[in-house]
Amino acid sequence: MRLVVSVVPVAIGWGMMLAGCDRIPLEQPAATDAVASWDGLYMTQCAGCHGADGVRGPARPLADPAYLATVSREDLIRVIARGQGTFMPAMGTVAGGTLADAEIERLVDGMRKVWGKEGAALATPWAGAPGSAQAGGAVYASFCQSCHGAPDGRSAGSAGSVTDANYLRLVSDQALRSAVLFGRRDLGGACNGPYDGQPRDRRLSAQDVADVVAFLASRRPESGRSTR
Amino acid sequence: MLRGLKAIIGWTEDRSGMIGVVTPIITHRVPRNAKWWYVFGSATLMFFCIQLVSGTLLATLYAPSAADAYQSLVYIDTQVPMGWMLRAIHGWSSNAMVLMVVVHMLQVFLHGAFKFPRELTWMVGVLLLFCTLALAFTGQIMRWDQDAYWGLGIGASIVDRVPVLGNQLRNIMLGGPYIGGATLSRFFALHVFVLPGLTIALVGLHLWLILRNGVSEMPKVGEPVVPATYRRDFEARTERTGVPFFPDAAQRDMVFCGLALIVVVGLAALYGPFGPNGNPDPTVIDANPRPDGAFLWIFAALALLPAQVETFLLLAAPPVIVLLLLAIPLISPRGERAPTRRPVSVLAMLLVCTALAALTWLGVTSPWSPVMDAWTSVPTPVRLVERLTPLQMQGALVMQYQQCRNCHAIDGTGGMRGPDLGDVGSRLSWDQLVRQVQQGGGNMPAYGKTLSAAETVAVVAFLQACRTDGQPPAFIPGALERAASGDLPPVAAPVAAPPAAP
Repeated sequence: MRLVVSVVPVAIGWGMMLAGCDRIPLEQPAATDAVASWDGLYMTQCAGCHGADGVRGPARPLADPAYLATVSREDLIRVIARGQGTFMPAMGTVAGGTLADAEIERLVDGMRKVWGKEGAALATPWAGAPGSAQAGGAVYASFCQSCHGAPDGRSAGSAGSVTDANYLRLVSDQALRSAVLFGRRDLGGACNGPYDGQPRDRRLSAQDVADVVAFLASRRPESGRSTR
Repeated sequence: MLRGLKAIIGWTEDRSGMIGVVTPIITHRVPRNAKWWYVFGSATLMFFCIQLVSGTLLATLYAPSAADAYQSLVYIDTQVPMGWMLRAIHGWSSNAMVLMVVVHMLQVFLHGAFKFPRELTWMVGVLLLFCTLALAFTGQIMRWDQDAYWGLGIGASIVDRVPVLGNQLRNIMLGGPYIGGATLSRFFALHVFVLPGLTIALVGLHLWLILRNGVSEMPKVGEPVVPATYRRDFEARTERTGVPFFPDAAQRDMVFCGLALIVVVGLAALYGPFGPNGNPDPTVIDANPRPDGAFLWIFAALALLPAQVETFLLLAAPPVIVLLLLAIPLISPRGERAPTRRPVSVLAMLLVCTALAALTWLGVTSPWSPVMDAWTSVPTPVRLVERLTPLQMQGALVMQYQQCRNCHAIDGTGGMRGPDLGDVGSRLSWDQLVRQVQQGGGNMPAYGKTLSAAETVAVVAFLQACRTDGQPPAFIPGALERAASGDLPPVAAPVAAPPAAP
């Protein structure tokens, strides 16, 4: 009897252990897989600003087919690795960050594969020289003012001011251009960019985009500009 | 065949007399009622033996030099067949040994087994406790990773605070003024030679004292320990009702040890070895070092100590704790052993256990610790993003870029070092927010010099928008008109006045 009392728990214990393990692992499972995958990298390195699903963060949404198709792969890699002179930090080891080149490439390829779409590119290029500020003023008045308010700040508009001096001090011309081009459709914004979905007569031409960016940039006070 | 074996044994016994010595030891009579309560000491001893075997094997693979230690652990984990399992068993068994020492000690204390004539057994046990903890600490150093580096750093800075001798003691501990190759060699020698040797000697003494004074009986109400008659009564009782240690009592030890071993091997197989976690590089500021389980409560206590009493308590508490533990059997060597008759002892024990458990829990969750990767990995809550103006969006980016989220949660996600900012806009007015951001205070650094005027306005505009739905922004009536103007930042706030261009 005593022998049974002693042996049974041991047998049960061993049995439970062997049954519970579908394998006795011979190789240590590689714990780094989750981080090395592109979405793991995205969640640890990008989601803080660009949003958990690539949308609805304070920074530019990346789950945007038009954006991913219009900006070249090389440009995306360069911006991630070296930053933009804005709040987009240089993430690459080349510029003091923590991401290796291979990781950045995996990140970009993953985003383009999962969030991108063939043929979603805009006709207007992502980057371009600023146009005429004067012409841009007219574009602003007819396309932007109803939501973003008058440039003098008297009326704010439902979407908040984009001519606010402090806002303009914090954003680059390229960020303004991207905002005009791609809008914030993830937030339900009906912004009059040239992206698909706008009625053709409400779309901005490439020249309009360049002009309105020049107009906004001209409102930026030279002093007190934030440089990162 | 059998006759030949018997002849060999007989010859050996005749020349050495070992069986004659050992047999009475393993069959010595122990009290019949010493049941499952008494298995923890044996389990501790078993884990110590596992540590000796697995540690010896590890020592054949480990390179105890600062340059190679980390790589040799990676080598053991990835290249040596089942090497990771060896490390896992050594690590888990070390934790199990600490746990068993503590449980064993609590059982002995609860049952008053430290009283006459077993005072010295208890004292040697206390020394063994500290040997075990020292082995665990020095073992953690062997990993030579971030945890080891910062663990050493904290140890060294504690030693450094000793008056007059601090610098010398620190140099002795580290083998120089800073953590380097000499430090690892020193701790390796401690971990594999000095401490195991000392522990073996003390275990021998501990066992000898147990044999000499006998295993205590289960405490009975109304049977106090009276030193004058205790030995005679105890021996008479054990002679009359006791059972031989082997096989009667040893059976239970073996069953419990077997189960404990299964648990430890199972944990080792499932969760793998501890560390190594990142290179021991002091320039990696996003390290989140953490001591092993047995020291988490110290980690928590150190973090929570008020700064004024830190040095005093750091230096005064350890000797007081050691002396108090050693003195327990001298304080109360006689009298009742039953827990029901020793309410103060039992309550004191419960208090200590609760405090240790609470501090360990705080050490695990450590709400005061920053979350170092929150700035890139913890999104701004969508409920806020959806109603932000362009400027406030930039403010949210300032929050992430300046790594505010590493210390501040918003809606419960992020660091917990500072207050949650999810509703800060309804708690602090515009001016209070500006002041807090620029001047800091209450443990928060000042950001006045780090942020440009525009960034300050943007981040304050964002913070003012951080409110639960329907809550108006906080303002001080009559203080400043703009505070009442709602979400919109001031058109030309004083803080936004651009500094003169250089």
